[in-house]
Amino acid sequence: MEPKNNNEWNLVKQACSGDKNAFREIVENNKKKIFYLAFDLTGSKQDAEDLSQEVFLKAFCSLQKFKGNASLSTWLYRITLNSFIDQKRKKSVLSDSPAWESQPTYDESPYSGNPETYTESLQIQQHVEQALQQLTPRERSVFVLRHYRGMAGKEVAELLHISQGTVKSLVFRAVKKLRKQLSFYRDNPGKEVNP
Amino acid sequence: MSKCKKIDKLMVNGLYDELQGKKKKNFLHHLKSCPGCREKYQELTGLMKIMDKRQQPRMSEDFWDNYYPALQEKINTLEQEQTQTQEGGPAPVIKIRRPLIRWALYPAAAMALLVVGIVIGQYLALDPGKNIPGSSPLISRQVNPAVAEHFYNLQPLLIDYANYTPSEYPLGPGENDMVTIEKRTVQKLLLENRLLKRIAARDKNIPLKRLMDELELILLEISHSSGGDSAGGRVVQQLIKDNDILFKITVFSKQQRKISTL
Repeated sequence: MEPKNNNEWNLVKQACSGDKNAFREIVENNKKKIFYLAFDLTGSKQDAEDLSQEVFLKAFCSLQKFKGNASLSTWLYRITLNSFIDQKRKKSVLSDSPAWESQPTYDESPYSGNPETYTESLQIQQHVEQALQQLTPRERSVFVLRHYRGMAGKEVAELLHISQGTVKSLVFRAVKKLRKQLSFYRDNPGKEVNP
Repeated sequence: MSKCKKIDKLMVNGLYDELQGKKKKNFLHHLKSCPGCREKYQELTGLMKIMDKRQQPRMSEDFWDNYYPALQEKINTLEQEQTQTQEGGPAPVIKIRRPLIRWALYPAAAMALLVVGIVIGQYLALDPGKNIPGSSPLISRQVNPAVAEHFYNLQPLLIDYANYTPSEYPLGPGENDMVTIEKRTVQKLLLENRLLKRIAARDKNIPLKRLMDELELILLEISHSSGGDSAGGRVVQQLIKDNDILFKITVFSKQQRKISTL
């Protein structure tokens, strides 16, 4: 099969032959996409940095496996999702409670504007992150791709190598859990709440 | 299935505007006529708006400037480790897999598969009447009685998963079609399995170790999927089926009983 993107393919070939500048270009072109996906999955800047660097390290070691059938960013997305699920799986086996039920550490954005609006916005973000932490790694991965990355069910299924039915089922369960976790917004619309 | 249940199945697609043609028409028509479904749909739309309030952090220019140098450091460390393991020989930056080598691997893999098949076949095709100690690789030596007990503890759980019927309803498995087991119990079984696998490896009982490997994979999947994960449940079911786990355990248990009665 012909590679989809010739520029990317050339960079990969150069990197495979030991050209460090080519690999640097691959990282520079994709670092923001991968970091922000990692942030959506982990909910923390530090974890996102660690996960995204792990992704590029894995890519560095197995770049020769990239065949060019999909775009390089899709391939890196797949590594990110698999690494995230693996990490959580390992943590959940080693600890009593699943890792995805640990306390969220939502990072605060730099302060700007009205302090009241800022506090309210921060509180909502923390509630949303707490709710997202209740999802299993697979539910969170599928929800993030669907909701925050705007990917269609078919694309998510291809990316994660699962059926469209499974994607639908995972999103359904994720939405059901989020609905339960954030039910206080439904019960107290517009009110300041402490769940 | 009632109309509302059918519409419930379409809610997610409706939320992401992925319905088309007749389905979309029916969905919208039902929402107009059914106050319950309309309320649920509006509630979910509200939920999605709340989810949209989550923002991504703005990272500083310094962070992005230092991103590659930090990665480069990790790469250098990795390369140094590789060099050390290769006893001083210079490590290539990236290993290139040549097509010739890949082709050469296929016959080797086929041979390995054949050997594995012969070994597995040796104990799967056992005639229980002829195999008093020595004929079956699984029971060729006295096995720790703890292994038999471990299999005895595992069997009901594996049977539950083998007979598990995932629900067709997109909400996932209902109460009656879900295998319920405490996470702590699975972890205990997993630890037990790992310990016994080590003993099997120490005793060089390769077929038993292999069976323990397969069981470990299944227990890991159960550990991950416990909590009503129907997709995980199907994976476990498939693993049990593909590896003939129940059959192997039954054969082993029967042989074990024979030894203990001798």
